[in-house]
Amino acid sequence: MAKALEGIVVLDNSLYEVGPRTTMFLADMGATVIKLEPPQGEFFRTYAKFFPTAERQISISNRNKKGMRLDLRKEKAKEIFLELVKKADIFVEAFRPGVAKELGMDYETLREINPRLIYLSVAIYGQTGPYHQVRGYDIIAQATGGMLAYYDPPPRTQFLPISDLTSPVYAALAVMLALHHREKTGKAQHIDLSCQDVMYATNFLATSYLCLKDRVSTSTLDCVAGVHPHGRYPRVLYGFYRTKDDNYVFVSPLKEEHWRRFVDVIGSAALKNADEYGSLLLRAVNSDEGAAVVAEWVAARTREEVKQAMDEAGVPCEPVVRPEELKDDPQLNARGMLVDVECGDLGRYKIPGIALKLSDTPGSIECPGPRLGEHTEEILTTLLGYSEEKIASLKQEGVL
Amino acid sequence: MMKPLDDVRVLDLSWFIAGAYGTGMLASFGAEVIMIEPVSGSLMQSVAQIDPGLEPLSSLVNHDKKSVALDFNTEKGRQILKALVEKSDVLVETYRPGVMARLGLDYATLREINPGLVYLSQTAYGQTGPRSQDVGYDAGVQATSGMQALREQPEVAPPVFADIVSSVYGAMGILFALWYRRTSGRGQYIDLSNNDAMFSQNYLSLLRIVWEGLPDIMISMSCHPPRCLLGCFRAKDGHVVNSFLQQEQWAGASKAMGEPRLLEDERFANIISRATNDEAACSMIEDWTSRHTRDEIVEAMSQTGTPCAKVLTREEIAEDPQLRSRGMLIEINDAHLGTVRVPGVPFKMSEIPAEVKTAAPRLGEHTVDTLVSLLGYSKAEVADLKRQGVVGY
Repeated sequence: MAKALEGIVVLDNSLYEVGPRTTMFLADMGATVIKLEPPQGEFFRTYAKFFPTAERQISISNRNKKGMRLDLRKEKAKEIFLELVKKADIFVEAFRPGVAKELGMDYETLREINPRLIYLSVAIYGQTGPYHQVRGYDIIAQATGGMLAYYDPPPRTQFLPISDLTSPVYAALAVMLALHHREKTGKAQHIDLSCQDVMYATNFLATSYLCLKDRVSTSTLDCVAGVHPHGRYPRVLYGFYRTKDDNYVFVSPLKEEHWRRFVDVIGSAALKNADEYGSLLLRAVNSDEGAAVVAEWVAARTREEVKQAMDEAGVPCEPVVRPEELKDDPQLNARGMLVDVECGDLGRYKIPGIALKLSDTPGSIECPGPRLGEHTEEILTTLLGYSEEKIASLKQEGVL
Repeated sequence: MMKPLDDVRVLDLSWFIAGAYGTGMLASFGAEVIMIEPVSGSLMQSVAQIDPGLEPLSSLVNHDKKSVALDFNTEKGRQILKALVEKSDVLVETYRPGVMARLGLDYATLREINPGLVYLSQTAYGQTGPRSQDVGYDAGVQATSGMQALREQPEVAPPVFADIVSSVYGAMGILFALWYRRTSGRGQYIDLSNNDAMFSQNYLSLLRIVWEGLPDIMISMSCHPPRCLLGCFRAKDGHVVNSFLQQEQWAGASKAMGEPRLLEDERFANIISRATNDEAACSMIEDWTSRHTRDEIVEAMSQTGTPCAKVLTREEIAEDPQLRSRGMLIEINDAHLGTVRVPGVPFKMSEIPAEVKTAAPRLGEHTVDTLVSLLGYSKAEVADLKRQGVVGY
């Protein structure tokens, strides 16, 4: 089947997650992504010293890529690198701002070699601004993008590395915009992505707060852009509850028809009182009292029982699925979100599927993440046209 | 200046954030995005009826778009929509699976009119599978994708997240499809499930799946590390976050805090023992942080090269010098709404500055213009359609 990005060559010199996940989206769609790794390999590979199968982690964000091992401190390796740059459409780096320049692989230098090269830099604060030199990781971008301001006090531990996972979605979008632009104008460009900017742009609390403050009453502002526990969505209309079997469910009788059926299921006279729950606004105002009634009802039932009762009545309800249950989740399995792969001594295992389902160019998972340097020779042969002798002599010199 | 999408026309049938956020990104890069809204108004208008002060909210996702008010439950309305499809490149819809087919507006029908059409259906659970007919709210998707279970307070509704990030997946999918169309001439159908997208964002679960059989401690250390290594601590005037995962960062923290016990005490000798004695380590750290202001803490940590940042409140984000300098705090001057504050685009492109220029359109603001200039209706015909309730403006 045809692939959307067939023929596009991506040179990925980034490590950890943000850069590699960006190029994963491109590799899934058929781009040739060359993942460069230093001689000792990506940081993740160090776990494999303790547990060989830990290396499977590389599959999460590096499936479908070609792995190349190159010691860029060596002059000859640097030459190979520059030859690869000539063949590439896209280059990705995630160094601290300024480091790429020190290494002689900044945008200005590489565009001299390949004027059609689209150059993506990802960094915690981007390439400019007062903080751009400050060191940081995912949780720092979450804190400074306002993602921890939803709760007072903020969560004590990290919920998920959401900056590392969200930034790549925007970065891949940016790369595609640049490709379209290059197609129209012949011009390549530099993309400067900041993880803090991404956290802010996806942060509806912060953006809606800024948009609405001074325009609406405090109670309305708290409902849209509130900080828990003083504000945010009324629980009785949009709430989570703990079940008898120590699980949680989400129940949301937001629409009038859903509310009526919901009240019947709960069977509480209190919730039928029109003076307190006769309208959406009243339900919001009296949410706490109503939610307490619902919480008691839910606490007497298992997650399965609650889900079944709500389903039968036609009230929106979803189980809170625990991480260990996802592998067997019927919806995710029906959607092909869990794919079996087999990879040498790593054995047979499951990896996540492709979230975007395109009818004509669905992409595919051709292979799990590359082993360290798995495709070094293949790339040198097919992309750069190196002869066997040349490769042999590079090996002898210790370049490869 | 030429923009990458200035020859792309998008029909946006989405309701609020899901879908709309993605087409908003496309609008920033030159696409002509036409919202097709119910004549009686969309969700946004009904929200503004509760409190008119809420009206600017629409601009967070609907900036730089046009609005055509059209009732495609009527035959004439459907004809107009089909005529628009003929002249468009992309259609985005977020109705429950089956609704568009019932209206005769599904992909199979519309591709006959326009084989180059890229048709994105973005729904909570996608077009297939046992949950596909569920009413999908953002929090429900966070529940089923395994995200909510990871939060410290699973009984508190999470902030909007699934609708927004999934919409960026949608915009990316549209650009993949347009790229393929460039050479093939063919459009295609994109079936996007917010739940699939959120599952892909749930790294802890992905690790659990590929690492099946490995010790739990590895899985949690890799993604959900103990608070003493990666966590949030109380300061005199708020909170800070620390990242002490690496040995030199732990040593740097110890030095910055003037707390040699963190290094000398054998309970904190390595990353595993720190995890085991998390509580003791945290109380030592917090004992120090709570006696200092956030600025003092960040300054001391930065002296030793240890990652640390203030937890910004929503009020502080609005003033953050870094976000300001990056053009993330944009003010649109709208004749009707006054100054509207919206976020900028979170990546900077050297050749194509993203533009966030105009606030969300009024309902039906572009109905007449679109029908007249794009479809060739006369103004009298449009007025007649309005009388019949087919269009609004």
